[in-house]
Amino acid sequence: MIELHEGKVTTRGRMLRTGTLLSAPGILLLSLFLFLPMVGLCVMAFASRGSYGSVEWSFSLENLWRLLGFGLFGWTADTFLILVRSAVLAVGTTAICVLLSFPLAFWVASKTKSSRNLLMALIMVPSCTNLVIRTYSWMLVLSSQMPPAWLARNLGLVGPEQGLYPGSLAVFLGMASSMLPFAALPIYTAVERMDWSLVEAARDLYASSWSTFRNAIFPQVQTAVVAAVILTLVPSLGMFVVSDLLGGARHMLIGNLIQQQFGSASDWPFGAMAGIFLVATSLLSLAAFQRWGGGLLPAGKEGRQ
Amino acid sequence: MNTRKLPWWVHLCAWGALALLFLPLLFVAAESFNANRLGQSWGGFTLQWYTRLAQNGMILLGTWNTVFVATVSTLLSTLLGTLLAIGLHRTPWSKRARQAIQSAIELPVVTPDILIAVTLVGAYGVLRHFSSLFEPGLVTLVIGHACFQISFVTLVVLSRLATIGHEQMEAARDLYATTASAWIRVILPQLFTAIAAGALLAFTLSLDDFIISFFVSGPRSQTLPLLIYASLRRGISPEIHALSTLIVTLTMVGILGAALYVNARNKEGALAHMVRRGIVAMGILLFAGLAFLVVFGRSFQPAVSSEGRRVVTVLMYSEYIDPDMIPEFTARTGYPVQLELYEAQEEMIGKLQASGTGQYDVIVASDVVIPQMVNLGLLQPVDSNRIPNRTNVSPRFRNPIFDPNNRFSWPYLWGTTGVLYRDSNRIPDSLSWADLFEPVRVRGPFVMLDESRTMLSIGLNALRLDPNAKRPADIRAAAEVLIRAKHGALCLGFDGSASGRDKVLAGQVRSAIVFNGEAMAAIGEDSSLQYSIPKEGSSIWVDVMTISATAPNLAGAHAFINYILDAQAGAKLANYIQYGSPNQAAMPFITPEDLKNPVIYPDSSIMARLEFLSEAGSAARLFDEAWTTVKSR
Repeated sequence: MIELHEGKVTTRGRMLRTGTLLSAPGILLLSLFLFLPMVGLCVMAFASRGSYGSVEWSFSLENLWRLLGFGLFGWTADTFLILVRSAVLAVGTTAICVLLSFPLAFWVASKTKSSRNLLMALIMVPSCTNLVIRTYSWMLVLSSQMPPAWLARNLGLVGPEQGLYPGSLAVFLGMASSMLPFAALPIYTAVERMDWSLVEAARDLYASSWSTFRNAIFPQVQTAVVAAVILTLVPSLGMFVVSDLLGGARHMLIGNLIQQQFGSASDWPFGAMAGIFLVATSLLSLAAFQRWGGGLLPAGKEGRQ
Repeated sequence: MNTRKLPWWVHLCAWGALALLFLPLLFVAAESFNANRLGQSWGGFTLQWYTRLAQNGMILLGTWNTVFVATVSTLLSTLLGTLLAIGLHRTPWSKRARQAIQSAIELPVVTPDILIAVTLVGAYGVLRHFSSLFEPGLVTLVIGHACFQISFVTLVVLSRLATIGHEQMEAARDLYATTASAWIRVILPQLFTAIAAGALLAFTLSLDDFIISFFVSGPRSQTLPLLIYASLRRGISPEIHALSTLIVTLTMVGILGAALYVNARNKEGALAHMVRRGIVAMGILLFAGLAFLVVFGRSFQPAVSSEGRRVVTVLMYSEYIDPDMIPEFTARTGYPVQLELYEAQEEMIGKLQASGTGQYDVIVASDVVIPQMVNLGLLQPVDSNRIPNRTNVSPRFRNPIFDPNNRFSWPYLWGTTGVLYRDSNRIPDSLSWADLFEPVRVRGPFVMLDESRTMLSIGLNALRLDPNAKRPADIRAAAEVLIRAKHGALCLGFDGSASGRDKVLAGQVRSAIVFNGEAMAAIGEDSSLQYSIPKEGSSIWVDVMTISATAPNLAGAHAFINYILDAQAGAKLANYIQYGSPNQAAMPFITPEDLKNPVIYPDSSIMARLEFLSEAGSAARLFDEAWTTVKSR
């Protein structure tokens, strides 16, 4: 708890003070523009829609019931289906991105120092092009006249005259393509700084490739994997542009549902309810996930510095 | 790094990942040289999109705004985010507090963009009472972007800090380093990659952001994503492909240049010297490119005051006016024009509701939303005495049901919703909605229109019910029709009008539900296509010009509406957009072929099948729930 250093005592209180001082500007900005208004949004979630799309401040649990499926047409499984589809898409995308990021990170890390930085910078280049533009060009890539569709037809994967889009393959390709940099960056930063002597040691002890990875590599990159999962899973949970364009907009995702309330339905209170539900579920599942994967803040080392 | 060879599959996966990232870019580059405007097939090599890009002031200004907002917000969020990460890392938190703080940092990441937009708009609304700084503009954009970027930077830096551990700090201290110098000399250099990674993420997030920018931007701070989304309505212009290709090329040149420079600096000799000079020259070129953007972007931005007249700000769809008409209007009346574009009008209404109407003068919107806008207090009455050209309006469009006595609106253009299809044997009059919606009768792949109200009214049409029905049972039945159609093997889903048109043109689908303007463009490209209004009926709509409740330039707004209702100007507009003109006096000046074309001006037997949609009012929630069911089954 107490350290002696250059005659000064670094106490818990001192550390708390400098820590707070450093984090104050960021916290202040977020509180003013996000956290405080978010409270207002929570209140709005229990208000109701006026007949022309205004917000009526009469409170009820109506929006909550509606979210649970009790609508004007009786109970439907709509919300449930929407949530399941969104979760499957987000988890699938995250899995693809994290699994692809490992070989990519190791491959980049095996290059010389100057080409490493160059390659990592190049990986971010596609993100300089707008997401909609990239997604539109996936439509072209996967359309029936192009080589990928020709290959799939000859392998008997799709019927004659058909392209690879719209469909779930196209959606996953598009999603993975747009989310990959978000997983690759944190994983690469960890792999680049890895202590390879542990890997050598494992090999010297005749560890199999898998057990080398499991025991010597993975623990060193575990926090980066946590960061990568957060950075890909959460944004892909709310994303709907890619699935609309490449999946033919057949199925609504939670992102569509929320967006629709602030758009064509002009029902802000229900939109706020659905949005807050998404935020709460995401935070809870992240907390559970970090209990397994380790948090980002130092754990169990209170007062050590 | 150890030099042991990586297994073959690692190489394979890495190249696969690179393909996943770069394949779309190659196609974008190919499209930018494609002479075929609609881009679905190769029409020959051209550079015209690049020359047009250089003349498109709106896109150039948008690019400048995007780069400016991304750069400033990234700098701000990287600084604050890194400090936040370090501060959190050094503070000895209790277990509870740690969990709470971690959640607080993750909050902006897990919050859907639209909610962030709403919270920001709420905060700006309050702060605007204290400072005009919070009027929608570049400042609100920078703050808004920084708010979600901070979290991404903090998360990446924290994950790196967690792996550094406390041992190094202790070692530094044992060597008598002060806390500050230990941080600066030991920890910060190791954090560099993570900070750079966080900044890169933040930068690209800002470049791509649409929803937040849409809600917090003003007419003079439109960013590129806003223009791109707005252009989805009428089809993406190849100029955007040209711009994307330029941006990617410039970024690559910049990155390669920087890498070569670093390499050359480490070597000696004449060659290295030359390379270095070359790279400096490239850097200057890059800079010149940016400066070009700034200068051109700026010069295309109308001056706030030329001839002492203030700008008229018009909110409308993308490519919904002949670009020649804007200078013509300015020449005639002295008012410069500023356009702001939107894609979906309901979102536009949401923005006006949240951020106020004070930045807009004229708003072009559809008949169906006018009662809602009037009731929400977003519009003010148009003074008809200041619109002498009002007598030019055809009687059919005067005194409409949605706006008795034209109190709030004057018509702009009108059109219909119908089916575009490829089938030379069919007589247009014989088409039925059942040819799309009854899976046994469908003869080829098709797409439906991705608009809730329009599609549900078509479902009602197909059942021969009143398309304006508001009874739950009727709406439910219409939803069932659409669900059955959607599950047909040949249904390829829902799409926008422009994108449906492109798919018909490319032969990906046989038919699509589109607006007649898109059908005209498609038939112009490929005369074997046809457009028809199914025999059960469909909807007709009219877009109207209105004046915002708090229009800063009332005189200019009236002058604009009057100009559009002028005979020559109305004809010019209709000839360019190829929608129907509500302007009777304009008829003699409209291209005779268009006037005879039943796609634009249907004959009276077809007109009898068309009906205006009325405001949903209290049935809005019924439509919304029915649409949610259609989209979730």
